[in-house]
Amino acid sequence: MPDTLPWHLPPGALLLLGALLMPLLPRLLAGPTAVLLPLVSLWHLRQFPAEVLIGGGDFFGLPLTPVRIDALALVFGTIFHFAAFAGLLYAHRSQGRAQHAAALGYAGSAIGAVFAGDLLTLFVFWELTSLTSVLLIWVRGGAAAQAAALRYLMLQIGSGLLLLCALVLQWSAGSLAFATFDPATPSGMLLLLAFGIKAGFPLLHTWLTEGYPAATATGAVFLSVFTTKMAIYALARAFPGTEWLLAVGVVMVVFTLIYAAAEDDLRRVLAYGLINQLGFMVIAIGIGSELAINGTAAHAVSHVLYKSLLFMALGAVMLRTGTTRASELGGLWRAMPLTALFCLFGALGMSAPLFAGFASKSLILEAAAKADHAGLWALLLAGSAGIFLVAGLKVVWFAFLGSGRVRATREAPWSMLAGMALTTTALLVLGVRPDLLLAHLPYPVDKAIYTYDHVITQLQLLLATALVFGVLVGLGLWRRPAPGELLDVDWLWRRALPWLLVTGAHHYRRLRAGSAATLTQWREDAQRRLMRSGGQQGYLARSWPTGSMVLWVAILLSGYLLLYFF
Amino acid sequence: MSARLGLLGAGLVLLASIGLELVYHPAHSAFGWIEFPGGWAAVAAAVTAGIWLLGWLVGALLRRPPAYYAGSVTRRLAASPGEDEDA
Repeated sequence: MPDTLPWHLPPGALLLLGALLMPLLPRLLAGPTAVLLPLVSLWHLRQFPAEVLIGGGDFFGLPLTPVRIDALALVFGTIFHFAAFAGLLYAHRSQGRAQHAAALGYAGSAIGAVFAGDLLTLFVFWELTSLTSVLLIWVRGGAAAQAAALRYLMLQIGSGLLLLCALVLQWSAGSLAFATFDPATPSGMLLLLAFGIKAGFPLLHTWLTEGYPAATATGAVFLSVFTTKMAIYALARAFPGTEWLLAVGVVMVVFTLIYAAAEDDLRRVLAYGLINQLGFMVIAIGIGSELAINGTAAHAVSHVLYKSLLFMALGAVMLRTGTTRASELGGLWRAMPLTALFCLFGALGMSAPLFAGFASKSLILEAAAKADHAGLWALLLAGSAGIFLVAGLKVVWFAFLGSGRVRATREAPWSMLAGMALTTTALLVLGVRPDLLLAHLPYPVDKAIYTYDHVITQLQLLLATALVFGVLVGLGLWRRPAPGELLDVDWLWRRALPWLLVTGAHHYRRLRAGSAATLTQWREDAQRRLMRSGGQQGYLARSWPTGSMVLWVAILLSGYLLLYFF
Repeated sequence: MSARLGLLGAGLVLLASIGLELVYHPAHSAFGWIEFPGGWAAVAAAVTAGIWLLGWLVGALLRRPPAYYAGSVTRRLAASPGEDEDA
């Protein structure tokens, strides 16, 4: 590596080193070290120039750029550091060294990926995020978590393989630069699919809705931050202005609202809500203007904050009650008032004025309006009301309000509360002072966030949503979901595909057994016929009268003469 | 009780925001069809009711018992190997 790297290390490498050393540290030191490392790594990142390309090495003759720092990468890299710090503070007292190591490795890999300047470096960190993040599901233990981890890993590795194929195609084309790509080319198509898997595109999203609820209480907090936002960064970098991302984003916004409304497991509700908000970002990337890319980056920041806050609150609920199912919860605010308050802040953080989500969504809305996408603009506004309903009000109501079914004896541990308090503070600071966020976006912003129109519109949306939800709950129409599994597209490979394979194999065995018997029968029949004619007793072995032979010779010769003359 | 008070508060603020729109309602260009006073509140109410209805429908159609995936075909077969051979 060249000397331009501070401490001869790329961004995020300190976290990866920390992850490797974590199992060797004494138990008492492991927690504080894990909490401090993201801060040291952030300080390390600040030693780099604001815009720099650092080359190093080559891959079969093509130069590599392991580090590329610019405004877009810095937004994601900085919020990843903050989220790692808040998440590790949250996990400080409740988890062991294995989880600290996995979380550090996961954060370090994601940070390495967003600062990658070439496809090979991106691929390495892309795969590292898969391997480190799956540990956060796997360490929960139990057959269900391990099966979920395996399915999660298969899709993650699938994404990596697609990226590898694109890398090979790009290598043969003579450039490994991680720049913009044309989705109509084979390598562009493969990259789009690879990024799409990790961004939770429809039909490819089930690793998210199955994996996050299966993770540990703290694991889900980390999972909610890194993989999907890394993919959003990659899409924003490689495919800005790709029009059909608009359609993909619309599907992500709409179908997740309905599933989140029906789902019983509140962490899965948040996972659907997460895909919904990724849909907002995918739409902004599809619009592709400078304002839209600013909106994507800003919304990624606020989304990391409020979504991890919500997962933190439900992680605390899970720790104290052992469940996150709406059908088993309720009334927890008495025992866990602070957690309830933080969860409410997380819900408001999505789009309420004075919270970061309000500022970031207004950029995306403005981008849609300026690009003359009136329908999209209206959909996004309605979608922001919808997500407040299902991932905000529903979660707060069924977990903390209403009648209690599971009793929590006490409030969450102090480290969890500290993690939630820190995240809430950031959510509020960026909401009250959006200029702090806007100043660091990739392109200059000349938009006022708190306009009369926008505040009134958003207030009406949120308040009317809350009122109608309250009325529906009060009338007994919106009840707690019944316990059970809600079928999603993963039904195809969890039930339909095994059924097809098993049934197909069964029929194949029967067919093979049947055909073997049939073949034996045919062989025996043929053998019997052959013996009938050519065997010792067959008619070819018999003696025939000389006259009949002479007759047959005469017939053959006559036939020959006829053919000769005509 | 606190939930009712919260709802009452939300209702009052909503009414205030609609009142504010009645007093000061700037003209809009592209989206005037929805921007009458309280228009977005009506949209939110319709969205909420629609999501509730569709959520209920999806729940009714697609919800399966909690152990639905635990009884998958492969697991049943793994539990009784040779069943197919005998058949």
